Amino acid sequence: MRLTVVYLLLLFALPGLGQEKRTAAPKRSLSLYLGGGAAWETYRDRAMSPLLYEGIQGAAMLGFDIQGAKMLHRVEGRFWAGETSAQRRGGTTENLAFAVNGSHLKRLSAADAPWQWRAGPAVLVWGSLRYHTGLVNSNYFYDLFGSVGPSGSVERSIKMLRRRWTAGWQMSVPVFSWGLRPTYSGLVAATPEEELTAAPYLEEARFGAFKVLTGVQSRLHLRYPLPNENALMLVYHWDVFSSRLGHHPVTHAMNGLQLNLSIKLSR
Amino acid sequence: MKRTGIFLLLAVQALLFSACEKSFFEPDPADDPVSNFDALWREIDQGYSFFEFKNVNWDSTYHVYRGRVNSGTGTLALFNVMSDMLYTLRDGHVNLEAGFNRSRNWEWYLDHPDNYDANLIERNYFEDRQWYTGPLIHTIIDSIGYLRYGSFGQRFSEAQLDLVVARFSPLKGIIIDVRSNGGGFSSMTDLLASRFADQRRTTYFSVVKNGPGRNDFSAPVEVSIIPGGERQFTKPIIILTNRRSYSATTFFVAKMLALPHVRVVGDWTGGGAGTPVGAELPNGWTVRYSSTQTFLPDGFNIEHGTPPHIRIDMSEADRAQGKDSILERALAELR
Repeated sequence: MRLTVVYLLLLFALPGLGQEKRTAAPKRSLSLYLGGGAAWETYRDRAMSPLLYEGIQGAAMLGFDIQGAKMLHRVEGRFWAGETSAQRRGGTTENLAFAVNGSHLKRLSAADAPWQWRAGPAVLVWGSLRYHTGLVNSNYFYDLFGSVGPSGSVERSIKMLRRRWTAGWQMSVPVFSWGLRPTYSGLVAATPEEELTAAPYLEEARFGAFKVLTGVQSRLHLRYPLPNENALMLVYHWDVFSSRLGHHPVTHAMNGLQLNLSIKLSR
Repeated sequence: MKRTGIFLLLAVQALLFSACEKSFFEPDPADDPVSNFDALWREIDQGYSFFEFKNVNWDSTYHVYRGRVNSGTGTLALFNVMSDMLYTLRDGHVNLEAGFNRSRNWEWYLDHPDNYDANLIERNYFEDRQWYTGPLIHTIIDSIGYLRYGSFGQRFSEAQLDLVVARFSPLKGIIIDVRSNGGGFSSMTDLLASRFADQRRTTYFSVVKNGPGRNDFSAPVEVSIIPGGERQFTKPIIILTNRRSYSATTFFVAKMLALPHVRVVGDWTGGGAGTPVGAELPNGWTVRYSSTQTFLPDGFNIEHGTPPHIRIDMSEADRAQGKDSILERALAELR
């Protein structure tokens, strides 16, 4: 256990080796962040059950910000794993899920304005896989959605405890989406493994605006500055989406709290 | 104070937003006897694959059994009504699992001769010379290879199967005994059959339920048997079957029927050629039901089993002499 902690600390410290001594203000700065935490997952997948499934998930996060004078390019991936159950009435599922948000935000406020507003396009991806331990054959249920849509953020610097903290909120919504859901019965015709292709699994895949997917990715963060412009970030994520793609609707929500270490790498 | 207010403003705004989460979700389904009964009927109505083949009028079935359920129906009574309703489907792949009991219909073998006696074979044919290669039990009887596989739910490796085939390769014939093999993994049927295929051959066609309508099925998908492994045994093979040869075993026999050097001796298999899927009800009970259909190349639906080439039952007279009539007939055919 102690060795694991040492390895984890080393892993967290490694990106710092890439830091250069600051000689002049860079035109763009790159911050890499990674961290972990927990999330509360809630979903109702009518392909599997009419019941609401809930459970705590382990969470990990990896991302980076490239910040220029007027733009902020942010890419982050969040990953979850854990179990859910249906309020003691139904079965248990083992779950894996991820969400990716890549946004290109342009600053709308003046450089010295206290509230820094940004807006721009974003690419959103959600994916989840659940394995129901009490069903047979059709016991894997999944969804995969890729979307483009608008994203907006606001940040404000706050002086607190003799440090300059930053609080911020970013929200993104899908507009044009592609989605994939399980086939109607959760089965494809039995074919020898070597002849199985992806085609039958893509039966319930569609592209469209709004009707395929409605959802929100919301990110609230509080940054605590560390030396060398590094930071600790407390991040609250809320991911929710709902889809009526195919015959079975699905709604999925993830509320997560994570602690990230942000390493600033100049370029 | 101001800075705290700013942070609180942002936090409250984001949290209020996430408080709208419930608006994304449908309300919880009602969990009362009538709602659960209706949910079960609807699940089968929209997912079951054999209404037409079995000539089941599911709409009238609803009216017959719905009258036995009301808001005061107790848990056990509800389970019994639901079980009775599902029984009308006459399907071994249909079960209601309530935790305290599981409904079932075992008519597909109970009303037929047993046609298998494991003790008799062990005592009078194995004579303690059999090998256990994983779940594959094999021996040589009068220069004929005998392979017993008791459950497609027990996995074996390719190496284990290749060993058995290599052992049997000098012999003039093989008996594969899958009597009372209640099924298991479909992938095991592909693997086992691959060692006996002389060339790629079409075995059967499968259709999958792909919509809520009674006749919403996918286009037929051709399923083939493909040679595999280090070597294939393509000399005469006899498969022994009885009514307890069910589900994956029926698929295995259907695959082997495509091979010209294979014959089947014994009774019809029990069928079970609709791949089962599962679903949950509002009270957390789960239901399993068939969701596909399988047809031989001539259009024969094998839900009720595959026919043997030589139909024979175990006789009591043979049994009294320590003989297995079905195995004896197979040995005689191969000698």
